[in-house]
Amino acid sequence: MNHNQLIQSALNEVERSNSIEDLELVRVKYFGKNGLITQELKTLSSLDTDKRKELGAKLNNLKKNFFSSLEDRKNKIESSEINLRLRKDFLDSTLPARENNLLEAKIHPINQTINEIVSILGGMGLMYEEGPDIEDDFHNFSALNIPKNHPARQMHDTFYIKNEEESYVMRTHTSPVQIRSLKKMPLPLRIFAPGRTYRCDSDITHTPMFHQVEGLVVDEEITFANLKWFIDIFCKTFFKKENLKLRFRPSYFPFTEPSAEVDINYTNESGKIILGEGTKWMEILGCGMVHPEVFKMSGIKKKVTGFAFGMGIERLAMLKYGMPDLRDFFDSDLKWLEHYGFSFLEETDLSWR
Amino acid sequence: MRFTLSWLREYLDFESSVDDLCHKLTSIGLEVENCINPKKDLEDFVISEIVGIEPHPDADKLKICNVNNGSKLLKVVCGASNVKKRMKTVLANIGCIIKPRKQNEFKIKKSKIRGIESNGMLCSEEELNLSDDSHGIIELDQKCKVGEKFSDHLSDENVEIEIAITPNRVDCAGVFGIARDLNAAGFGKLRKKKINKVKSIFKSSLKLTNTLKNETCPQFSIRQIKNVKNPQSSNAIIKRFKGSGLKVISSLVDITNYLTIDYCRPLHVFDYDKVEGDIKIRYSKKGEKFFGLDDKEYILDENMIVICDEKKIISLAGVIGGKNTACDHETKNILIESAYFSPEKIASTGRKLNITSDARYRFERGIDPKSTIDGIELASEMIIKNCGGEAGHIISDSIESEFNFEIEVDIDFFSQILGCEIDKTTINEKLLKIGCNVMDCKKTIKVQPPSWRPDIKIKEDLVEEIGRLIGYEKIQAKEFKLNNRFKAKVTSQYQQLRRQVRELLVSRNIMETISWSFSNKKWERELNLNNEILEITNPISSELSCLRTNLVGGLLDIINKNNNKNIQNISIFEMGPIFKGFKPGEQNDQLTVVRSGKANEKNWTTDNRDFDIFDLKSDLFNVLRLLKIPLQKLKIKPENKKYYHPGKSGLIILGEKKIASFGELHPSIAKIFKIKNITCLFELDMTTTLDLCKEKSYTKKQLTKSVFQSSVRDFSFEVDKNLLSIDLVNHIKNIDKEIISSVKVFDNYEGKDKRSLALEVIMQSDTKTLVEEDINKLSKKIIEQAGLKFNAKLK
Repeated sequence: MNHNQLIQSALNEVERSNSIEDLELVRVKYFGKNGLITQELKTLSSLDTDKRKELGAKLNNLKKNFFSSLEDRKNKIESSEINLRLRKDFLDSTLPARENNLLEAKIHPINQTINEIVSILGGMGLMYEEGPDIEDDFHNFSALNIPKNHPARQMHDTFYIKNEEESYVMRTHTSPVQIRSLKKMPLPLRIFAPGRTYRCDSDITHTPMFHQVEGLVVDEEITFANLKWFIDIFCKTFFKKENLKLRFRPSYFPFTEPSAEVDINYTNESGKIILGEGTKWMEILGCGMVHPEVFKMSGIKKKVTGFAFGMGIERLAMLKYGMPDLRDFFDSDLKWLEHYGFSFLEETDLSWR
Repeated sequence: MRFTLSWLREYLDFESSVDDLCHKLTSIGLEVENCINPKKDLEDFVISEIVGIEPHPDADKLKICNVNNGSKLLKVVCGASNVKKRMKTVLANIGCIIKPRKQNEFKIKKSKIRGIESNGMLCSEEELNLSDDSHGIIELDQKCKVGEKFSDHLSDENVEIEIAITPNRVDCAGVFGIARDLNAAGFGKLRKKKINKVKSIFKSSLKLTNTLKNETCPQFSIRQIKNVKNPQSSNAIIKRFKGSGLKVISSLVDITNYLTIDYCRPLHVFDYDKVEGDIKIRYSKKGEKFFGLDDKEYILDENMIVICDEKKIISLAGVIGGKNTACDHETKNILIESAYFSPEKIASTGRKLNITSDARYRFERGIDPKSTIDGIELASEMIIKNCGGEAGHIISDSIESEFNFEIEVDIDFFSQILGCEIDKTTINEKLLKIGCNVMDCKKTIKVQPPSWRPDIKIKEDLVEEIGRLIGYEKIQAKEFKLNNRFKAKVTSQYQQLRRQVRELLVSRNIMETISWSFSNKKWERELNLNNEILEITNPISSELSCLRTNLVGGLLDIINKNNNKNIQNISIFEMGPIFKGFKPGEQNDQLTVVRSGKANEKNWTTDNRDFDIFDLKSDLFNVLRLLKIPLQKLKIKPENKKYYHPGKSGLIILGEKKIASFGELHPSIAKIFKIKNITCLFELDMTTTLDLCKEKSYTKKQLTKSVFQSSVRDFSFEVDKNLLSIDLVNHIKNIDKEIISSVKVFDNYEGKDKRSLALEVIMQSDTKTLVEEDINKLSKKIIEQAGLKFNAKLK
């Protein structure tokens, strides 16, 4: 076989190959260790200079052509193999995703609401304080200017703990944290205290356990006008309603004087409550200027004034998020929790991090 | 407190609308809870006459009435039993909106009732929100003109106002007091209550001994009236009582009740013919019995104030009268009682015996101590007018009431508290209007509050009065400086971690729940690990009668309740307080996670295995990792609390403290809670664990990495069935702490008598690349030690 025939047959064989394996055989046949062209190349050294140059160039050119068409052929075969596989492969993409749970877990709306309150009040400069669920008479009543036999005690249907010693109660409000904070922390004082509270009452609008948040700001020159400003900012921020109207009306709490209850405006459109619109009022929280007796009972001797406020967390949540029934919060129906609960990624704030 | 508009108008002249009145009441602190104004609601209702009645062909109880509404004759189907021909009543025409007192409102439409067309509705008082009376339709006077608006026939006695009275404002527990307060706030003109002295015709021989006048009953007066009659009260009174929610009894009793609501002056009348001998006021003795007007027998404690004759207790002072001397329609001779009792005494008596009454409500809040004689005179006048009779002289055994104290206050104090400028003239004027005596001392004022305002005791009370009377809405909100010092740390690390743990668990698809802090005896018997059950003295129900000592009961109950709603595969947690004792602070925050049922819902990709304790262990370790608890320092013991499966649970110990436990629920507990699915849980004592957490440092420790290559060797050992894998792992780790960087169990096969454990050991040195020889030497040592110490055979 002369060189030209050899070249031609090598290129032809590449073109005729139909698989990667065939191609490899062709490569080995011509360019393997003992390949036909490898052999030829080995003979080059025995030739004289001119002939060697001529043949060398020819064979090198052939090598270049061979490998380039080999590469082309290889790509062709591979892409036709992919096409073939694509024609065969099939997965029903409408099958369900790899998801193993019926229900999506959520943060309980009470804790979500507390988190929001922490963010707002924290941002307004108050510190997160806590107090015990069981209280003594002093912190729950006496220190808050609610002596025994005071009619105000009737407003609290108190749970008592059975024991031989002095009477302990389930705290009826978060206000005892006011006393505990005033006793242990330096002035000026700015705190808030969310938590569980208990009253011996159970109907559509009452559960024996519920949540409140208490706020207390004490300094040298805190006024009722400051209280109004503070509550206004809180309510507008919490409900995300810039136009929310607030109504302060005189009320009575033994531990504040003067005392006020705060209403916000709303309208009722075909059974749906819309806050910040309309002329109806609904009560949202109680507040007032700290009663001097509270300071006295907490051992505060410095001349200070302050304001305090307290509100029901369930009520805030229901008004903001529209849960219709208070009792559902503690019924732990998983469908309810999934529906009214919150993703763990929701609403974060600097106060928390 | 509920009253009618015309009652208020007796003491207050005003032209403003009912809406304005309600607004003013609320703004001065007398919150209007309900206002029923039928004059406004009933404009479209017409006075009509029933001109004929036919039976309904298909219903015995229904009748077809021919009704004349002034403009035409209509057929109206009616079910009331009192319909009769020529009766004048109220017709709701088509289109009228009915707002019944006890049901939801609805609109009248033309409709067929059992096949007969009805063109409107004949109404009862309840349907028109005029009273609770739903027996039959309204029967109007024959003088009423057919075709006229029914609302024109309504008076202010039909306008009902209900206000909430805060415990400090007893002065407004009377209609007159409300008028007085409105007037003080600049609303309307007050008409003073006229108190006439009733002439005494005879001198009563009765003797009165008040043994408590220097203690809890400083004022006590009685007056005898003889030859009275006790008929039913007049229609005017009955109408007013209906609108004010009061029960009509008999003239004499109604008069005392009237004055209670009218003048906040509780009184009592005794049938004198049932009183035996003289009257004495004393403290009760323990165990004395008393039969009240409410037909209940009470066993008295010691030291309750009682009013007695020579034989018996005739009244429980300030709370409830006695049945034995009650007035009835035969009563001819009476005693009127008017007194002032210590509010604390009345409160404690009422509370102990659990009696609520209009009298108790007022006495325990502190009525006007100067109203005792006025009360007798007012009652005498009304009784003689309505029931006839002759009055005796007033018999009193009282001490002079002390009500002459003074509050001195800086004028500046008002603006210091309220935060707005208020001039002295306004202050003086407002205080005078509520009945105070004010003495001007230049920079200060000296104020004597009126006897009917026992709530005004300190200068802050005066500030509230001023704020209330000028109106809180007039006080401009004022910004104040929020000190940045507080911004540094709003939440403690503990609070932050608690939130992060919640979020971590939810991200692992475990639902957060909140359950009662309460438990019950049944659960506590099964789940309480101390011997003491923390009981509530006055529980709301037997299901919530104790305090919980762990979260397990509540969570298992949730699983059961949701299983019943056909949700089987459940992952839930709660983080909240559990109680260790009955004193404040004897509580810990606990975290409990429960997973029940299958780990995956039925699906096409993965198998349908049950949750097992290693799912829970993984949840637990992820929480501990978040809390930065050094996991390598934890000890795990295969023992546990009584409600865990003894063979499938573990206890986690850090240092000396048991911080957590995990495992499968004991099958007998599952049975008690009616849970059929496999249920696993873990409990973590958050308080104890977080106390062990170090304060988070923001700079992180330098990362150190060995530059030398690591080598991996796998070992498969056959071991005893009850060998704890952790013991083997720890032992191997300790063979060469420098070089063995990790030992991991990657397979566990349970054979018949033996188990096989496959371990992956990673070896790496900080100082050199390990050569084959080093590795072989160490591997040999591992196999040797495992064999020696644990009888483990290499497979």
